[in-house]
Amino acid sequence: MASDGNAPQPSGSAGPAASPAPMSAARTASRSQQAAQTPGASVMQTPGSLGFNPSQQLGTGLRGVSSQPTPASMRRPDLGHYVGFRGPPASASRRTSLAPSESVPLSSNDMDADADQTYIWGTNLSVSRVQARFNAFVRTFKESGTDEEPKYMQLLQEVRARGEVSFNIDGHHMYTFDRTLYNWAVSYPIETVPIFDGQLSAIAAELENKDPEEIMLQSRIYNLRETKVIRDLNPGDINKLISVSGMVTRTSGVIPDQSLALFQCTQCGHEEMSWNDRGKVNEPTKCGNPACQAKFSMQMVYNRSLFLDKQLMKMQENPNEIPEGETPHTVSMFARQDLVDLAKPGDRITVTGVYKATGVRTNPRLRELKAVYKTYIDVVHIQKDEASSLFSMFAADSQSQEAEEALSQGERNIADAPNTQEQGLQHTSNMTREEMEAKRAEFRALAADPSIYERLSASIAPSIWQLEDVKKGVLCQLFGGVSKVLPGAKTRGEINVLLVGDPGVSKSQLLSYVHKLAPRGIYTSGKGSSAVGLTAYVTKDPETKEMVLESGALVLSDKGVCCIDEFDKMSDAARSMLHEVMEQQTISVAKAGIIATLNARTSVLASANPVGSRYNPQLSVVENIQLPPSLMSRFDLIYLLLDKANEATDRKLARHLISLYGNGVGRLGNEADIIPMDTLRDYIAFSRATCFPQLQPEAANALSQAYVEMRSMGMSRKIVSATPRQLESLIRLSEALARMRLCDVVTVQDVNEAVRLMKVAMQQSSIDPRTGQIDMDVIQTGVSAADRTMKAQLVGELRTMLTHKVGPSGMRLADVLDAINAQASVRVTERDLRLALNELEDIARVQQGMVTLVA
Amino acid sequence: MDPLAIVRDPLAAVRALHAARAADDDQEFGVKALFADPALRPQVPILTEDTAEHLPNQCLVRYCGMVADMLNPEYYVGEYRRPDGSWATAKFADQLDEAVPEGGETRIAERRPLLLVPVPAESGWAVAPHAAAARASLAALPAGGAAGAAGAGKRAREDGAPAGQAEEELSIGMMVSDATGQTAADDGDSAASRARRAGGAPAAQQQEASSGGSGTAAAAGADLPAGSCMVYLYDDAEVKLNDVVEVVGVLSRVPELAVAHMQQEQGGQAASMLLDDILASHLPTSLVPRLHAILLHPEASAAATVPAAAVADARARALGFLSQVLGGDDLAAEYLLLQLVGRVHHRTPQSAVGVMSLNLVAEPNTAAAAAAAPPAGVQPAQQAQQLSPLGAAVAAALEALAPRCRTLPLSIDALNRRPWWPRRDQNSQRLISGPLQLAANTQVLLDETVMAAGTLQEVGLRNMAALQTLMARQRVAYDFEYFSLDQPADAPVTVLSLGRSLLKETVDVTLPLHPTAPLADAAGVAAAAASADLAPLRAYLAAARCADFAIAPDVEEFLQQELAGARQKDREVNERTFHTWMNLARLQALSHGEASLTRERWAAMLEMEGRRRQRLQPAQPAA
Repeated sequence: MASDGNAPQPSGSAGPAASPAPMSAARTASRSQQAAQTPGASVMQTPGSLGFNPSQQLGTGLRGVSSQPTPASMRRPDLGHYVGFRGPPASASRRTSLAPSESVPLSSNDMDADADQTYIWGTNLSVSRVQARFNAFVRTFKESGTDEEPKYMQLLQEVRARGEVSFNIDGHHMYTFDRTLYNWAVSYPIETVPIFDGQLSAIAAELENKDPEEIMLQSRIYNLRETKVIRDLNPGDINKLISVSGMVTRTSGVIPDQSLALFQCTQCGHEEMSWNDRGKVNEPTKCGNPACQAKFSMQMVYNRSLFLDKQLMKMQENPNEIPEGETPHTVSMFARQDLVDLAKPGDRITVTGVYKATGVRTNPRLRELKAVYKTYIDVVHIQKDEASSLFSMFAADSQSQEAEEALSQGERNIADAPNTQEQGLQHTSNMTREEMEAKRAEFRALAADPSIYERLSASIAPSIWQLEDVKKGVLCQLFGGVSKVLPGAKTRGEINVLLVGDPGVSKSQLLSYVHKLAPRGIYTSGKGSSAVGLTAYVTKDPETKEMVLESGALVLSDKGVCCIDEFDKMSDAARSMLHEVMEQQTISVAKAGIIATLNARTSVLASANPVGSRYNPQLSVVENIQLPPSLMSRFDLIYLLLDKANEATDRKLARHLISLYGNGVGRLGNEADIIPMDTLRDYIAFSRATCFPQLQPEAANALSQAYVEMRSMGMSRKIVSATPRQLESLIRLSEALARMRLCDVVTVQDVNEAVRLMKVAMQQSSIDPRTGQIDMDVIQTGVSAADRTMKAQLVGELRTMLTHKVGPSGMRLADVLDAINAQASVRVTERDLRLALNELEDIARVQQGMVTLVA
Repeated sequence: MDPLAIVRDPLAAVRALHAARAADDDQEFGVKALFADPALRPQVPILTEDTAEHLPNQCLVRYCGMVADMLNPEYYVGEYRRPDGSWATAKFADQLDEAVPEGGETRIAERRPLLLVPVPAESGWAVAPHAAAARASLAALPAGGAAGAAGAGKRAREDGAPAGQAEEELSIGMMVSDATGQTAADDGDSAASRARRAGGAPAAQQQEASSGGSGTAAAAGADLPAGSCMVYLYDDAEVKLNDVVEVVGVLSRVPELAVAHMQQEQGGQAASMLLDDILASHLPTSLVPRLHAILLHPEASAAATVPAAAVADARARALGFLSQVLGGDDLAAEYLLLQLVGRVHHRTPQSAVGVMSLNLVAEPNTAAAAAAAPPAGVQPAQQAQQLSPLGAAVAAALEALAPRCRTLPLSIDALNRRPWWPRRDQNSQRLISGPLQLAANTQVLLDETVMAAGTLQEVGLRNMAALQTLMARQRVAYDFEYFSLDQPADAPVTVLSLGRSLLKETVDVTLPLHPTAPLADAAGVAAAAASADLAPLRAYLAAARCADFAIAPDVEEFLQQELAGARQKDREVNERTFHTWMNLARLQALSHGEASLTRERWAAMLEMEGRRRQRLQPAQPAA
């Protein structure tokens, strides 16, 4: 090692020239001989360092050795050329001739520049022709006629300025410029690509007036004309340049891949180098020093050998590329140098590389088994198809697009766009850029449809007829309003909907449809819901002896829709948790002495059965469901679904079902306008991620006007018909309506429709059954204004009656009721009476059905 | 050609055809035609777990199983040129009789490995004749082709192979060192490692014998059910996951594969990653024999039409049998019978049409509940695998009638224990099966009566969700780590529970049991099944299940009125009720051997539903 210190060190950051890379096998032989004779000239930089950056590792000074200035280094470990290009191995079975299209005239001076007619082994393809055509491509290709400078010349300068090695070439560009060249590159990548590298170095050298050997560039072709799926690879693709898309499932650790071994004689200290030649390093069997010639004395010196980074990756087919009833196929890949660790498990990528097959015997002692091949891809280029989630991509797109354009295309493969992960949106299958563009266009087209609102509402649970306004309300909920953070306060954008109604009016169906549709939908039955927790408890219902599953729904549905069936049967503890969720959008959990506040930005879609299972039109909504008014007021829309059988729709449904069971083809009738569920889901997610509508001044005016109107409706009769909560709801609804059109402004029409939806919902649920008027007090306090007056009257009457009629022995409660009903104009229930009596505690007491006066 | 000669040495027949082929690029060269000869079939021995050890290597066999996994396609030397210039084929074989000439021309071809397993949850009566036929087929095989002789011949060949030549070739061992960045040269003590490698062989056999159940054992195929088989497909025959198929092909045993797996376990992560897909399809042949498929048939449909006269009789007998099991509850027996003729006949994106999920409820404080109570004195740990006496009896009854029946106890422990859905192990690159990976036409019986209060972990919850998807949509999501794929299933689900089931949201029909006699126990059912001649019943059910069905236009009109009218009368009737009714009516008609729906069947169905509703009334006044 002592001599090593004195050896000429590589100078300059780009590193000195790489190997001279002769073209023919003969030259290679002569070169390695020379290398062997001057061992000191080969130098390891830092002992012990295994990984190098590409510019360093390739500058392993063989400079002094080079006696024949050849254009450039052609060392491509990713193509199996550790030493330099040499032509295919003799065992290759291909003997075909190249594509005949040789008619494209070549620039003559290029032809003459290298009269050496070296042919690529096994073909009639001469090295100089490849060089000439590639040269022409780089020097003259312009993406559009107006470009000032040839694209790749510009790119080359940029790459050099940044000191990079990778030089990306768009396959489509090459194809448009010169089909033959493209075909060569795809059919014979192992031979042609190193030639491209050499030409690049030569051109760069010319530009910079440097020795080509000092310049290391690797051409990486990507964006081939055909991108295959793993399933379609076949033996014909072996040794071809291919482009495959898929999802990375596993990556190995970084493997040191030896490119150069340095051997030292244990007897005399003589050193010899051996390059990795197509995956093998040959160990010298005897010392090369003529004075020593000891046999089997050479030992490798690890820390003076060279290693490159290598990584094994597995890629699995994308879910949408797998035919039904089959399992995904996988393919192995080797990534080297700067491609190592570029893709992580779970990434969707498109890989360009050379498909290879190596014979494998499953037992070293049995030759016959070698009939099986192990296939893998030597990766040349990795393109990430997009960030991990479709809708985070949609959202992050506006930002990253600028970033994208700023980056030169040369960097695209490394450019890992900052991942602003929009958590909570659905992590469905992610897709490629083109697919996403197509999707975006599809969505825009949908949004432009003037009848989009009707189409959307028709597409919600298409098998449920009627309930148009309920569906529209649910639609608003799915799209949601915009959450706003004001100084000191946050307002929620989530819209909560409550459906109250008779059994059998498709409430559960609507819920389960929304559950399937909504991102992160959670469906739970109120009976067995605890608000938190990732596990569930099975308990026995003491009454029915049925087993009940208690699951924690709310945390799980953060940023989604939480569908709660049988809301009225929810336990009080769980319900109290809902207060916090529905207004603050957080949830507090006390566990193991820690109080944690978790986000639960969820919309609640609840359904409740009326008390006594049937809706009693004589009672108010609150009385019918017996939910605490504080909770009721947190619902933006409360719908009453009363079962009104409609024979026409029933028949329609019946016809559909009969055909389904008869000949197996359903006939829903209104399919044309219906947006398929998958599209609808994506549309909603897209809208939620990208569209944040703002109120126009006119719309704001309309809103305040509508609100004032709603309030004044009640003013004259001293009842409240609208509260500030309703104003907030109106804003949310209007925003949701604008979102349905992917529109960035809330218009007056949106406001009008929101007001209409609200009125429809209110009419059904907040009508005071005694007055027929909308009364928000019914929701807010559970007692309507009319009720309040009546109660006051009742208390007054009762007071007079009690003082007059009740004797010292007291009076039976039932008798009091009869007496009061005899004189009252409205029927007084026992409940009303008890409530009134409670207020008269100062004069009367009720004990065991007897009313007695307090002394 | 003499059929027996073909059976004994099919490869010779294949190679003779190859040599005589008309065109150089003919990939098929008449192999199928030769082997499809009907005279050949009876001569071909059947491969099962029992017969595997008696069958000689490289003989022609038949094998029947379910496609449990489809592995990565494999490239192999399809053809190679002999030194004399002629082409030789390497199709249908793992090993070649002659060495491929070094550096000679070869043509690479592709073949698809499929992992076939014995049909899961197959009933005893369906397996037995097959096993008997397999044993009988063995007897037909002449003694001359005994396993010992063939094995010895092969060994002699191995020993004869020039050792030096073998050394140079790339072996898995070399590939390993390549992948870890080591080269042959850097290995200072390569001699020692070679010794290690040699020593590994007996150890591997030991390991294989003990098959120690760990993760590495799974990689070597120890997790697979006995009688599994690796089948190679050489053509583009359409096969889907969970299809039941019969394969005629060349049996191949390669004892050395066990050694390869042993070495693999010693190698590092990178080593196993590089070769895992090859190893996944090269499991030790002592556990998973290899079969090179020449012919592939889908499962023969057993549905020979049953004469109308026999249908009524068979139906009555089947009902009687089921009723006996359910303690004389004729109504429950009727529903259970309909369950047995259910088949998915149409799919919409959200649902599957044609099967129902049935919940038989043993109401508390009844005889049925007593029968459903877990047997006394059983440790909770054991209970995970245990069924209640009622569950066992119903399971025995279903097994006696249905060709396939999967019974699963629905207890906290069983649910939490392991995933029931199939999932791919990315280390071994194989699909790890779960109880819910089922062939079509499998009855699923869930015994919820053994459920007790407790906590469901994540696995348990996902199992429950998987069951619900199966019941609601007849699909099972297969887990491929980064995404899951829904695979279609055709498995009617019956749930036994005390009180309404946990899965009530996805149950179509809930029926409380009202036994009039003591319920049968499993032993009694088995005895009854054994003593009676159930074969006509099974044939009747199979025929009814597959029969075509249609609704005439006039009946369609009638049904529309009926449905709409029913909704006018009873507001609790909704879309789901319509679905259930239509399905029940269809199954009723099929169970009577009728190919179309009549008004009488519809009325009978409504009457049956009425009786069911009555039973539900007292317990649940409104729900």
